[in-house]
Amino acid sequence: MGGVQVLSHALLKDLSQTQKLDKIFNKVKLGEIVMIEGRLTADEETTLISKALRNVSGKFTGIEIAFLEGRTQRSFAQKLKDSIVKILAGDRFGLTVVGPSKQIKEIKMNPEKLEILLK
Amino acid sequence: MVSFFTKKFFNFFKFFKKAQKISLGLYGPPNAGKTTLANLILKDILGEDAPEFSTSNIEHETRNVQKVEKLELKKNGKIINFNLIDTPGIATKIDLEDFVKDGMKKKEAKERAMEATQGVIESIKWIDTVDAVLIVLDSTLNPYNQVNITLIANLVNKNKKIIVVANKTDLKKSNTDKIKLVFPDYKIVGISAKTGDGIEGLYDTIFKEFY
Repeated sequence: MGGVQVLSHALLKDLSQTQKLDKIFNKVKLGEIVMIEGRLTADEETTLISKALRNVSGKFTGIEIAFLEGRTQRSFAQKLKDSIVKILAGDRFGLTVVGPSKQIKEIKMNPEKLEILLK
Repeated sequence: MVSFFTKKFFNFFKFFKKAQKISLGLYGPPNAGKTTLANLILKDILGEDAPEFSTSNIEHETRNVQKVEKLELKKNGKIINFNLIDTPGIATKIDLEDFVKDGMKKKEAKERAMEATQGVIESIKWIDTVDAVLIVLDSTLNPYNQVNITLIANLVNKNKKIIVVANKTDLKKSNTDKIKLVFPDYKIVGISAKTGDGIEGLYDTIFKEFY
């Protein structure tokens, strides 16, 4: 595999947390980079990290995860502040990127852009 | 009259709340200096008899949660009773090849990767058991990454009290201001766990935030 998949908010919104994370994780484990409309909650992100680590093996070494804030009408400082707040309840704005760390060397984050460096 | 007794009633329990022990967790990414800070706190409180946890420049040196109970931090006549919980660094990936690059043999690297993986999972589980957290960040690195944001959000979500410790201020590249910019809503204290510089400021902040 090794492609990029974009999952809409509509596709995930009615799924349970387990179903949602399974859907994302199964694709990542197969080598896909998944882009999700909106953001995962703090609990979902932590569960996803734990799930990824439970699956670490020679072939799968974990995940890279990053979030890009979607709205641009606020100040830089406000965006930084909101990044903590928004993660508590989840948010349909912005873009979450999750990919296999075997393929992604690093995701450089700032509130206005993501740079995904591939291996 | 009723409100007077209500106030007395709650103050009575507040007293016991203050006398209670808190579980103080050290959390953060690998190699941020959590264990070095734990060792410094233990030495300050227990003196030469303090246990010393192993530290290393190779990531994931701490692979189990390490706990020291019944500690007393005293300052200006105030006392905080606490258990200190040093946790393995939180990471989203663990690759044995990284340990091989650090000079380990493949077998040793494989074992370390397995233990490190379990350590991170254990660390995440322990979040539920701590009352207050020192988030230890390496102030020479960019603090704006998803692991730090997720960790802080998770702790806030679980109503944990937080102080962000900007460690390694003894290094030239240290940039405590950047951590302040990224996490403007939290108390940030710059320290060098290696040299002990700034530790009194951290203790003051612990009393202000956790007492």
